[in-house]
Parts: sequence; structure tokens; C-alpha cells
Amino acid sequence: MQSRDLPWYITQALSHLSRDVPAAYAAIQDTCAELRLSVMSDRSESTVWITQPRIEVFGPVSNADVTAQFQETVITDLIDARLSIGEALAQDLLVLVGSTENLDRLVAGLQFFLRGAIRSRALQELLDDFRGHLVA
Amino acid sequence: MEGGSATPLPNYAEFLTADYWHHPVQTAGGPLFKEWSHFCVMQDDFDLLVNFSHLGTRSGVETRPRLTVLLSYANGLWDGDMLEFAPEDCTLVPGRFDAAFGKNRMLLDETGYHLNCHLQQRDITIALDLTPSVSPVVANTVRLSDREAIRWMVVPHLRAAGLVTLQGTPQEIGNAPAYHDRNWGCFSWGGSYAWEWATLVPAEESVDWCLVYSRISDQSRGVTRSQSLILWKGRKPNRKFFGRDITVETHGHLRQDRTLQIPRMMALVLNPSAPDVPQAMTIQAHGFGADLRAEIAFEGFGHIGVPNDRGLGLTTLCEIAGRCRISGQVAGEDIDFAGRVQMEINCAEP
Repeated sequence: MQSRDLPWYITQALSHLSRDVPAAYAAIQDTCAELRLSVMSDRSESTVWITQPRIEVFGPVSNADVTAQFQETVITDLIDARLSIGEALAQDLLVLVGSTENLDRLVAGLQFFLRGAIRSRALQELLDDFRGHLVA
Repeated sequence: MEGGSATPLPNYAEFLTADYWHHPVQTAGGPLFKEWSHFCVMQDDFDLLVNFSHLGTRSGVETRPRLTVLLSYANGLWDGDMLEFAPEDCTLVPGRFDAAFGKNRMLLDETGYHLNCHLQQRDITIALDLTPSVSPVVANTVRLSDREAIRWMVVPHLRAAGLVTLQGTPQEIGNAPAYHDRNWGCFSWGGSYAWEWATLVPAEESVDWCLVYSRISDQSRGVTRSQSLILWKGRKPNRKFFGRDITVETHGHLRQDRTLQIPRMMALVLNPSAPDVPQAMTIQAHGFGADLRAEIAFEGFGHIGVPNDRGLGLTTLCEIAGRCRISGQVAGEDIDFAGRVQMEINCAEP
């Protein structure tokens, strides 16, 4: 059985999104076309390449357009509204590095992801599973 | 908290025939069926909103049962959550009131309504008995738009007692004013309409007046399609005011540092549909030998986010807590009482 790390959860989340809310998945692909997002958490490093026909998740690369650094607990702090994105950035709990244009595209893509996530029960169940992963 | 030694309702049969879950009716390509059973309890130091809902899905076969709980404290803090359940974990029988969503239950028996809910993640436990002070009324169909309508059953004044445990701290509720309604019909979240409604219930049980206000408008909230103010005396509606019998004025904008959004993920979503909330509102109604004035002061609000039925837009249900003073005359009888208000504004992204 594959280990359940953050790259695995991202892959699963995108899979649920493409199946349950394809309009949100397509909107992310359009908004963030060809963006390479480096995801560097305290537990793992991965890259999300927002491309066609499917968004790819794989290992670290050196040519990412945007780098996101954070502790994984920040994800649930944000989703559960214990922390706003502005607070996370101001307190360096979330560090985003990239051009203004790419950061804007990423934020717009994140909006579509969230609007899709609210519509997908499978994605919300995955989030509950992720909470367990953080505790383990 | 069910039954016990409470006094049986003299009009129990009226509740059985008015307040029950309906068969989801879905027309091909039409707006999705929705239904919810809604309770507000307005305690001195906090207000509580509990809403059991099931919403049709595009497949038209299954519905999505949801439990929404919202708490607003007198110090301005809000708490709550929205839980979604798999249909197989829920019991909801058309024709009956009782329902169980997981371990959360709403029951009706000859002593009144009973709510038992537990939100594990928020550490909130609710065990409440609600005794109606009025008879249920099944109101006329409310037309929302050319294609959409909503049905409405209302019990506008109840008294609530029981225990709400918040983060391990029990809060006893004794004889708090409360409100209950049920809505159902085929309409779209994100449809070409908006609504606002408010319940105005007396703080003191001895006052036998209460009111419900509603306004249906276009999506921008600029054009009123219909509005009503219903006044109850005792168990029955006493006066119903419609259209030009009613004048509504709002004053100022209510600001707050932080607004609770549920589901909590909504806090991350940039949401242009969130409506402005006034600081105060005056509703006046004249006619049929009556002259009424409701002065409302709003104290705080929370947002419930609902995905629009089509596209990726969102509808915001803005739940607003406040206090009111009702004054005037009805058929020569003076009215003057202080009360509590729960108002809801529905606003959708286009």
C-alpha cells in the first residue's frame, strides 16, 4: 500500500475533483496553465504541474514557477479557519515565492479548487483522513 | 430530553398534519428539490441555530443530508459547523417529522420538539426541548421567480429548555424564546431571486405577540417582488400585511472584525456574494385597524455558504442576530414589547 504523504493526498484530491467537479478541475487547468508549483512541507517535497490532459504530481524539480513552504498542520489550520492566508503569510507559516503574475494565477486556481472541494463529499472525506494523517 | 413529564400539547394533531418531511419531487431539467427544518433559540448570552436539510443532487435520485449548527455569543464570537452525511447514515421518512442524521436527531412528540445533536470537531452538544406557544401555519406558496417557488410551514414562537455544552462547558437553557420553520420546494441556489426574512419573538413568555417578516426580491436585492409581515396573537395569526402596507428602512452598515463562515473552508474563498448587513432596520405596517412599528438593532452575523446548483458560484446565507422593540396598536389594543430577532439574507453570485 502506498504511503499516505502529502503528495498522495494532493493526487487523490485532484482525482476526486476531476471526477466530482470537472468544471473546477478544468478551470484550474485554464487559469494555471503549465504552472509548476513546488510544494515543500515539513514532511515531504513534491511538484504539482498544472497541465493537460491531467494535472501531474511528482518529485521535486529545480525549475518551479512558484514555491510554497509550510508545515502540514497549516493546511488544516487554514481549512478550519483557525488561520487566514494573510495571517499565515504574515507569520511566515506559509512562504510563497514566485512572480506576481504566477502568484495571482495560483491564488485564482486555489479559488477554483476550494469551490470544487465544497461540492465534493469524497474530497471532504479525504480531508478528514488527512487530519488523521497529521495526528499519526 | 424527550417527552418526560412535560405537559402534552393541546394541539398536537395540528403539528402532525403540518410539519413533516416531503417526498422529493424532481422534474427533468428543473430546479432541484430542497427541504430543511430550521430552529433558532435566542438565549440571553448566546443564540443557537440548528438546521436539518436534505438537498437534491443533479442525479435526481439521492439527496445530501446536512446538519448546520451556528452559535452567536453575546461577546460577538461565533461558532458552528456544517456536517454532511451519507444518505445511508440517515433516517428521514416522508410524511413524518422525526429524522436522524448519524447520531443527530430531531423528534416531535405530544410534548413538543426535541433536538439532540453532537458536533464532535467543535465539541458542541445540544439537548433541547422546544414547546410551541402557537399553532403551526402552512403559509401560501412563495413565488421566488418565474420558475421557482418555495413552500413554508412556520411555528414562530416556542420556548426552549435544555442543555447546550460548548467546549466542555454546560450552558443551561431555560425558557428561552425560539422559532421553528420548514421550507421545501424546487428552486435553485443561484436562482434569479434573493430573500430576507426575520423572526421577531418576545423575550418574555407572557407576551403573546410575535411577528415574521419576509421580502422576496430580484437577485441584486434592488427590486422587491413581494413582502409580508405576519402578526400572531396567542396561537393564531392575527394580521397579515402585504406589499404597500409595509414600509422598511435600513440604517448604516454593520461591521465586524471577523465573520464566521461555514463550511469553514469558505473562509478561504473570495466571496463577492456576501451581502451588506444594516446596523438597524425599521419595519412599519398599517391597515386593518392596526399600526405597527418594529425597531431592530442588529448585533452580529455569520455566513453559511452553499454551492450554486449550476456553475461554480456560491450562495451566501447571512444569519444575523439582533434585538427589537415592537410598538403600536391593533384594534385599539396597545402593543409594546422587547424581543429577539433572527434575520436571514440570501444572496447569490450570478
